[in-house]
Amino acid sequence: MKKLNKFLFLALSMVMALSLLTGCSKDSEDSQLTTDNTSVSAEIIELDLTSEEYAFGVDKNQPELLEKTNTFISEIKADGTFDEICNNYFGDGTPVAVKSAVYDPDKDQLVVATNAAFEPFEYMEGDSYYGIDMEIAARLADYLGMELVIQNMDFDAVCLSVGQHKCDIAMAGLTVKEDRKEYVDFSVSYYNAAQKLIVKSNDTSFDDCSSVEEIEAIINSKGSGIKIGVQNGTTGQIYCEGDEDWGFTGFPAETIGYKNGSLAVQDLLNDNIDYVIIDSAPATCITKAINEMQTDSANASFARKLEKFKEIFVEQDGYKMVLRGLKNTLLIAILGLIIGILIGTVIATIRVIPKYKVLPRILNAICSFYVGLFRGTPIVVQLLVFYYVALPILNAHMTGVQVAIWVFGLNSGAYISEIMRSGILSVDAGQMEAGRAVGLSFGTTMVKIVIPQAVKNILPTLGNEFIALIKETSVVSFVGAADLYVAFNYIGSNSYEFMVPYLVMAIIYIVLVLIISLGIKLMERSLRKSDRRN
Amino acid sequence: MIDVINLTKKFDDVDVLNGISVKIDKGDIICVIGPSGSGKSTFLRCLNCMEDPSGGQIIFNGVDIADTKVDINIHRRKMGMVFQHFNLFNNKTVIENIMLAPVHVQVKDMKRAKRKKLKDDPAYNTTKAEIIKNARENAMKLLERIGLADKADVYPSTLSGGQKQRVAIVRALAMNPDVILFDEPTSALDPEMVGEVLDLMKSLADEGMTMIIVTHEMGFAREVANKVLFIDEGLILESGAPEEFFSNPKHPRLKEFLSKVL
Repeated sequence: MKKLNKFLFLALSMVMALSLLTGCSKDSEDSQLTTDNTSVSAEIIELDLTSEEYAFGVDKNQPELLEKTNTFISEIKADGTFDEICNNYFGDGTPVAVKSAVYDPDKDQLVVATNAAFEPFEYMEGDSYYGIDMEIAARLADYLGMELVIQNMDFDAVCLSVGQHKCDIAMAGLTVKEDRKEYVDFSVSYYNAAQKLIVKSNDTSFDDCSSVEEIEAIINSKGSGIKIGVQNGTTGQIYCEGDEDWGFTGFPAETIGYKNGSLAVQDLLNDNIDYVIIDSAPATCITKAINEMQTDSANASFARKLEKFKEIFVEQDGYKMVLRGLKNTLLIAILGLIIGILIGTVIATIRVIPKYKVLPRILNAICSFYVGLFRGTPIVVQLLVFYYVALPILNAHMTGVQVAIWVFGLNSGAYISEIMRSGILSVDAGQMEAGRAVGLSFGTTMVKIVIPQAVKNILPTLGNEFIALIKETSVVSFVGAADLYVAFNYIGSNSYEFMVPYLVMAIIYIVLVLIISLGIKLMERSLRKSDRRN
Repeated sequence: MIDVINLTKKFDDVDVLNGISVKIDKGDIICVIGPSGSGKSTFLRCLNCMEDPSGGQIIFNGVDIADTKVDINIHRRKMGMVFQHFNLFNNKTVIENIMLAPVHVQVKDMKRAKRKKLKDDPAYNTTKAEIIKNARENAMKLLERIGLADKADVYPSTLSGGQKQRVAIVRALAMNPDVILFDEPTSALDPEMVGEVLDLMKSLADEGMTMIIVTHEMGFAREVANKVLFIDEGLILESGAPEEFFSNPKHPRLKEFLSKVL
């Protein structure tokens, strides 16, 4: 009977997950656009909404470097190296990590100024730099026979530092602008960053447009009732929301930010938004891949998605990422729980010490502050503050996983301390008295008598905490730790298809939680042997 | 052996003990009686500082243990205590309940002796295994004495109340205390189990153990005690040998009390 229950539960969860992922497409508000969903595909309107030339900014004192850089750019454009690099970010390639050497004025080094917060041109994961500019920088340094040093700074400081000859070259997705020419010599342009509009294929509103103005007029005429999907932090977002410095007036429509372009396009096809505006290079890759999935029958579509998932999962070593993600998820949850239990037990003990002396009162105040602090802020904020504020101030280096372990440990310590306190209070006061009466100290009685009984009482609640931890770990991608969620997200963005990866992820989480529940049940049973209740 | 001088105890603003002085000699069996709320349990709990006295002195083996600077844990080893609700350690088996404290304090002494290189201290030459072995042998002897050797490895939750209280008494005995404090040891027991506990206490009395017993068992007090104290409103109103105490009470409050309970 129990097995049947479990099976039913699993089956129900899967159905729920499925309906969540697909159900959104069923009830559309906009009747004009609603036709049979499977026949709709995404279409790019072939007009550049904006156009920016990206170039590198070279130190004005080094004309020979400018010359060599220009030669290098035309070479990598000619031999396909540039397309290969772009493919790592927009296509199905894998980004390559770029390492920076330590700055040493005595060595022959190429010092690159960048602002590593502009994916996909430059960004960081752990100690490594990634991005189109960074990979070009690595190859440029090779080409020049120099060692690469990357200096990460505010975007505003990038041009300035080259202008002051502190750095040799600015490689930071730099748009060619007149005012910047005061500080640097621009190389030839290597990338044309244009924003493109993507619509559903059955939306004919823009078919007769021949200029950007006409497109903008149509979008403006729709007013504030429509939604435009963009990729967070890109020019497309600024274009839609408007910005004086950039000369964009923006649209009255609601702008919806997505983690990446393919999620936006997927949502467009699900009828949740009306348009997508993203960079033209990713737009081409994404629409092509997603349109391939949109076959005429729903069953075939699912089979195709499954096939695509299998391909990435098995043949392209996706399972290795998933295993690594699983390992990190478990590592963070288990070590976090252990740290949490230790901290929680210490705090709970301090909080039940009789308080007629000064020291216990001070300790109690510190503990109250700690618990208030960690219960009063979201875990994501704690992760970000720990990683981006505390570590730089302390000048310490930790990987994302280590940071996550500590933050989750400290966080759950605050919660477990209250759980443990209720556990300690649930143990009859006579147990402590009996321990003290035979000459054991408060601490010894606590450790040998009270806490073991408290733990037995709170085991179901502790199990809850562990399950919550396992699931909450999905936020650690904020500090660059690769957990289960990151792994499946990677598979999703590489296949432009999120349904199967997310579904498999949901199932893995459910299985994990079921295993943990079983483990807790077994532990409870073995701890119950001193009870009559077995 | 215990000299209580002008002991007072306040809970917040409520005076519970108002100056109790009594002298307890080795081998004394002292029964403390009185109406509920009179302070007799508080008096007993002050003797081993389960409640910190608010004033006065408790001289035990020459040391004032009411002084908060004294390490009370050392002195409690020599002062066993038996509770109304037994308070056996629920997470330990019966024999573990008895062995826990002796093993813990002896191992602690051994470590201290080794750390300080006290070669003359007998604790210096023992090992943990030896301590555990001796404690187990001693615990088994105690269990045999109360006829519960077969229960050595069960948890307290499976014992009857009388069995629990007898285990609690031998748990106190395992520390070889100079005195045992009993806080209403039979009040929580079913009537048919009172006898077995009182019998055990009588046999301890016969062996010369010093005992201070808060009780409602007047018959037991009369038979076993060599001194009875009547406490009311935080004061000892009358004390004396049981014969005189019960047959010829002098204080009107004691007369009233005895007329109600006898």
